[in-house]
Amino acid sequence: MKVALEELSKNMARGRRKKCHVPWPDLPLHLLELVSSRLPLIDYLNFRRVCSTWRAAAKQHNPCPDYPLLMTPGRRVGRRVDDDCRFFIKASDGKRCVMVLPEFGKRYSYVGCFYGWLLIGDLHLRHLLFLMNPFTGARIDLPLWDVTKSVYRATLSSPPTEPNCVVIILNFWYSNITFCRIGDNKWTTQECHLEKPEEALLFRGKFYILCHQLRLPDAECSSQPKLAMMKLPQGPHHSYTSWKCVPYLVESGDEILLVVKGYSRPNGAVDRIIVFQLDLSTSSWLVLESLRDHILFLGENCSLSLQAASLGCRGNRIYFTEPHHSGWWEFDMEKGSIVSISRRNGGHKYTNVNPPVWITPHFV
Amino acid sequence: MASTSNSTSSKIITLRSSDGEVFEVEESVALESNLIRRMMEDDCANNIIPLPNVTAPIFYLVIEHCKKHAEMKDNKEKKKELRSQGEELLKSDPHTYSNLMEAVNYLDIKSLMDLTAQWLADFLKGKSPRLIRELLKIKNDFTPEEEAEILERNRWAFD
Repeated sequence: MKVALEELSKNMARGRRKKCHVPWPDLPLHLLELVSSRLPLIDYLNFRRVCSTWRAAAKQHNPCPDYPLLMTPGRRVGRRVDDDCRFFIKASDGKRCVMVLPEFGKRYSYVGCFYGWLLIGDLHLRHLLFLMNPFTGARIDLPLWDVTKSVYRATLSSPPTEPNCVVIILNFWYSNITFCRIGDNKWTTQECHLEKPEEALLFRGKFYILCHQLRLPDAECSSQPKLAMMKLPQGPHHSYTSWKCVPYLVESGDEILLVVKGYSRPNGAVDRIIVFQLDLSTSSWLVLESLRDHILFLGENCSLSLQAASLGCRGNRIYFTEPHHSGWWEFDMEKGSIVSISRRNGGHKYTNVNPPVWITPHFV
Repeated sequence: MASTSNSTSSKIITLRSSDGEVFEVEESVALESNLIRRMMEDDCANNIIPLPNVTAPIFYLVIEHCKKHAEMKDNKEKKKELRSQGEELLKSDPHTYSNLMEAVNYLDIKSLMDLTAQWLADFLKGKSPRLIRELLKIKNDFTPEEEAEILERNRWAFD
């Protein structure tokens, strides 16, 4: 066998000299794509930098389909924190890479992340609000913002590159919602009689808005976008008056989940997490004991739910972040335990304007 | 075990490479290629099947890989052997490797397409663009402006 192979390689060498060969970049795009689709994120990014054909081939697909990375600010260089650097961390194994995003340290403040796009406010020109994909540098400007209002919660109806994408913005202290369609030249404000709106989520073509109280049974908003109101659950599980709780809405396996993070009194750390599922027929919340094969990633304006199997890990867990802290935590729903996951240099407190966000890289 | 293909008295198929060399290949091996399969269904089987896009040395290599692949199905050592040969070829002669990928694609041999892509992907892991270009002898065709822009946009580093 070995002899045959040696002969073969001699033959090959001869043939190579005589015949024209296919240089790498001329390989059919789908073959290159077959290669790039097998690469983890960093190698995928390097692949894109080899030559223009490889770059074009790599565009066809997403290297980590659905796998969210935690984007956290600040790379420590000695004592100094480099504001323009962002870490991208894989929650499951803590592997991370660094990307330099100029202006992100001082000028841009992001509110959240949707479909791989950050919703960014410009701190210098405060009426500028735009969406940006940090992986491609693509930017989509939104209508000029009223600088007297702050952006508290936002959500998108679809990736902004799709037609008719609607951006909705809520503020805890306002009873109305503000929205625009990508390409509109101004924002539209719609009175909805909301009482302390907390979160919004697009589900089956409707924006579900979570409030502390409902003044109207269901806001009769016939106009676009379609809205549905929900009240926070009340009861023994949960009391909003006693101590700080933060609610998150997440779509998970065609259900609406409400996850409530409760903080303990003495040290202000998260000490319990309760998951509710919306009963759509009665509009009431049921306590959910298990997420089964799902994993939730919770964060300000960037929560998502994924099937554990597609990520190659165990389900029934929740990863969450805290504003002003670059670390993240894992809540094991089966054991009921909360574990802090920090690495060297990671897990430090910071006073950056930007919260850590879960981002699913998209390269289109 | 390695003689499974011999024991079944399979038909011999005659193929001709682009540089005119004639090969006699067992049907079981040749049928790994969807292209040859289609050609045979179109009743070219009794004649010599021409392969105008594949040179003889590359075709040798493809047949060798096909045979090995058939043998390795439930043999871990063979699998390792095949893999290390693929890696060796990639290191010593990347252009032939790219020809092999091209030929496998032309002959439409799904299993080998996946394997060769996987080996290449494994080879690329952990290497910088510059090193990849150097090892695979790829020309950097970005203009300095493009290069600068890419760098500015995505300054990635291992941590």
